[in-house]
Amino acid sequence: MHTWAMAFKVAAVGVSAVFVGLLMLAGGVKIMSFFCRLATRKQKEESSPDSAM
Amino acid sequence: MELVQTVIANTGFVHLTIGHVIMWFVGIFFMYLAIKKDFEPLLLVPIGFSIFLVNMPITPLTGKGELIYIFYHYGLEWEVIPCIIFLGIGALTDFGPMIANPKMLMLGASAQLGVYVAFFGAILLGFDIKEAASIGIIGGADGPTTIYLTQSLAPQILGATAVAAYSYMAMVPLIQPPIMRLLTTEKERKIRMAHFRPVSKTERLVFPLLATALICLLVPAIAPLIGLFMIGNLFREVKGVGRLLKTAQEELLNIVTIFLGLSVGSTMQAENFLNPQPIFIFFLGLIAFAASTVTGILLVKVMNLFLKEKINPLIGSAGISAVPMAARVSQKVAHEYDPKNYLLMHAMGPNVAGLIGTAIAAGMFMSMLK
Repeated sequence: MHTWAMAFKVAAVGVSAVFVGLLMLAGGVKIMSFFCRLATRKQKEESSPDSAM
Repeated sequence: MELVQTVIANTGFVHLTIGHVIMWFVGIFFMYLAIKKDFEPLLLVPIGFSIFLVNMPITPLTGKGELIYIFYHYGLEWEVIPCIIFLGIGALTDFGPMIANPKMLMLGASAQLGVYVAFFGAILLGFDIKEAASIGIIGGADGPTTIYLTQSLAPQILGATAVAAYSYMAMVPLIQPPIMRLLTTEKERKIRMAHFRPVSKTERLVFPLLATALICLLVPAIAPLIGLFMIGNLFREVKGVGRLLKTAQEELLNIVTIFLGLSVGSTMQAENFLNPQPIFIFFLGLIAFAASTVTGILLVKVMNLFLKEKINPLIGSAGISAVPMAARVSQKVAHEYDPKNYLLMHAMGPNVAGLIGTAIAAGMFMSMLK
């Protein structure tokens, strides 16, 4: 009985951690991509011929 | 006369048992799968031959200080080989499709549910909780993670779990397609997915650092595997480390693959292996694998209820960690129904997400059970 109780706890925490971990990573990737694209856009704007004028 | 008797007593013939001969056939069977059927020959040839070799009686191979024992002790018991394999896999992995569409990470998560199905199945069959965790992780279809976890929690079943994991990884093209066809309609199999956006070099460079930080903070136990995986991936994206990348992808990966195969095969000696336990482990491994395929596909079907742009459910099965085989299987099955449907790069997203998902699942088992 003790083994089953422990097993359910382990499974519940494990499944939650997998989903939370990958959700966090997905969120982190979205934020990272946003800032990377922002930085790329700013670089393009700065290096475009119009900005020299 | 006495000398002749001594010589005869020191031959393997006198010590040969039926168990040894059975294991020879097991080794030959794995080599047959590798050579004739082309099932993961890089792994099954050294594993199969090692099984054959170590079941030669009274050979100085697996005793303390002997050749294959040294590979096993320093490679597997010290958990070095799985980490270096992950370095090589990271160097070979393209995270672009996953970075372009981070939703795919959820498919990698859902495919890990099969791990827990087998976990409970193993407890039901009488395995203790640590052994059950080591058997369950086979469902992630990730050989190095299976070895890493099993060595940590239940080293006494390392041989069976490692061989089961690599055998099922090799049999992905056989096991998955019938399940994929059973769970999807023809209309769903023909869903075409939009091209994903191009991913910048900066994103590819930042991703390994981001992933290392998030995963190691969440599950510190898995830092050796994830850390080496991500540094391998960083080598792939950084200009100027071409030599390191080439070594990680080729020479180093090939060397440790040889030692891995020999070490894993060496755990399958007749006296340890010929009992009902490995048969249960193989059976549970198959359940784990099939359940992971099922849960991956089912999550896509659930997600499609809420998404405007539908995901082809065939890529859900690629959420297991058999990179890139599972992604290729998704492409192949889709191709049967629509030759112009190119799913491979879309399937790589969940495929690589599955690698991370399995590592997190293993890390949580270690945190709670070690």
